Amino acid sequence: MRERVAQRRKHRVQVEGTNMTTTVKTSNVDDLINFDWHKKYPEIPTGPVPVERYISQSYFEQEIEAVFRHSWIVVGRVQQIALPGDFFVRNLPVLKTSLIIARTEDGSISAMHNMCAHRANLVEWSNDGTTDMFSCKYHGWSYHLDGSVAVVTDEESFPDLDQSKCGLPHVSVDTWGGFIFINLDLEPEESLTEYLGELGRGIENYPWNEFSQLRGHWQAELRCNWKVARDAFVEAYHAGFIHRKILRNSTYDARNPYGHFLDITLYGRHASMSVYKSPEYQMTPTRELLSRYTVPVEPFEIPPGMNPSGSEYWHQDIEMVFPNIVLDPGGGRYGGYYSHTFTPITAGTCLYELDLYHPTPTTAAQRVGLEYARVLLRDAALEDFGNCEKAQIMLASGAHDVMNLSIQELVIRQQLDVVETEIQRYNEKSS
Amino acid sequence: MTQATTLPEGFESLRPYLDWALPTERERFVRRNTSEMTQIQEFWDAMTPLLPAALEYLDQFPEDELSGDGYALFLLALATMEIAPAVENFGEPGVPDAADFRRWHPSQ
Repeated sequence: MRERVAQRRKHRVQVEGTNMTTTVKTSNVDDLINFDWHKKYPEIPTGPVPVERYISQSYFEQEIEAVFRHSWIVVGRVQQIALPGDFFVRNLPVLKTSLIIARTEDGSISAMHNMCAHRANLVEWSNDGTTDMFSCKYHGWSYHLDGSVAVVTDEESFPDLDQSKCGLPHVSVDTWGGFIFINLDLEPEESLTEYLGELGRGIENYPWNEFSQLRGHWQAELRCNWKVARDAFVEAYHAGFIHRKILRNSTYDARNPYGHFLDITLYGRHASMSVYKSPEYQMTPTRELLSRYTVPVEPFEIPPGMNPSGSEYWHQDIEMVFPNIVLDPGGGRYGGYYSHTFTPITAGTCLYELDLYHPTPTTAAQRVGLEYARVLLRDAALEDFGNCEKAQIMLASGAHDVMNLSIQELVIRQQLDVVETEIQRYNEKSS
Repeated sequence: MTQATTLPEGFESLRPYLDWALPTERERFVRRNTSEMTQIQEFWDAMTPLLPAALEYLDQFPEDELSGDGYALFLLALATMEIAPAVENFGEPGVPDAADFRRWHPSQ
């Protein structure tokens, strides 16, 4: 066994600054960073991409109906509703609804429209909390955690009421890696497991839950189309420009001056990218001092779907989970992982959320170390969204009617293509 | 909460900067973004020589078992993390060429 491993020149290495190991299969980093990914994926269109899809109102409406109304969408994490009675509310104005996500008495998760069967009022008005039932403030109708009717006040005055039909209307719900996904389609074409497919299987053994007891959450309403925001997080080309001060040379250097990926793998609707780590990275004095106070984590080997090229220059992966969340596991020098979520509001606005999930500190000094990681990450995101809004202004000008993308921006093309395919499929089905 | 007025032994020189001992990320973020660079630099210059000792002190306790003095030092260390990019990366209080910081909402 040992000989076979040696023959393939595979070996495990610890990822610098973390307790993760990765299996190194190749050290020929130049072949990886100079690879033409279009050769691997000839089905992805080349050439300029139309600006129209980022500004058109009718295209936006089709995206909502064809994609968001029928896809599995992340609404939160299981840690937010750890115990029976815990709940949170997720508003999805573009889908014209508000959902209650609750942990029921038997430990399962229910996801329901937040709508009273009496005269339609929003039932739960808090963002989150713990309760034994949801009560409508208007006339006091109440619902159990699973959405079934608990109390109809002045019941005698509703002689014909069929209470079995008056529960909070359910939506589909399932979990993967501790993420709670909902689907407004009550009979989704695919289960969540089928939907996530090979990407889901390849990365599910990452310790998503272990890093999720604590998190930093930031959000902003951005004046840009949701895809403009998403595009900013599926390429590493911009790191050396807009982020050059905050991220310094962590993902580029003389050998790889534009931070080319080590790998791009497309998985149907989803995609995975591996970010290069520069050995020449210069830590700031603060970061160097804090590296003595990293949170201890049980050693683990990253799952096979991460760093699939097996490069020792691996920094972290970017997992694009269609349609609107990007997971950044590995975290390179952060420890833990972070996610970016882009929720459409209008054709020209979206809600951007950044969540940083990290190991639980055991000392106050380790907590200070995490604060540094949190501040850097959200300062970097502030740079991203300044950028996105400026781009949206000029997209709307129509002065250029196309954008020109690099080989390294393959996932932007793929995602545009997946949306287009879903819209066509939806239109064919409904006609 | 009431403003801390004391610090652990060896850290008394930080007393003039206790107004940086803010309990939430939101308050630290606003403080940094509404301060002049000279104020940030003054706090930074007072704090950073003591930061290795502060971290050593804070490494003895979990966050929720800090004494009142220790908690004030902990908050000053968190504020130092908040201003670190201003001093070490940007040379100005906020993030240059970025969106207005007031539109970015931390949950804590």
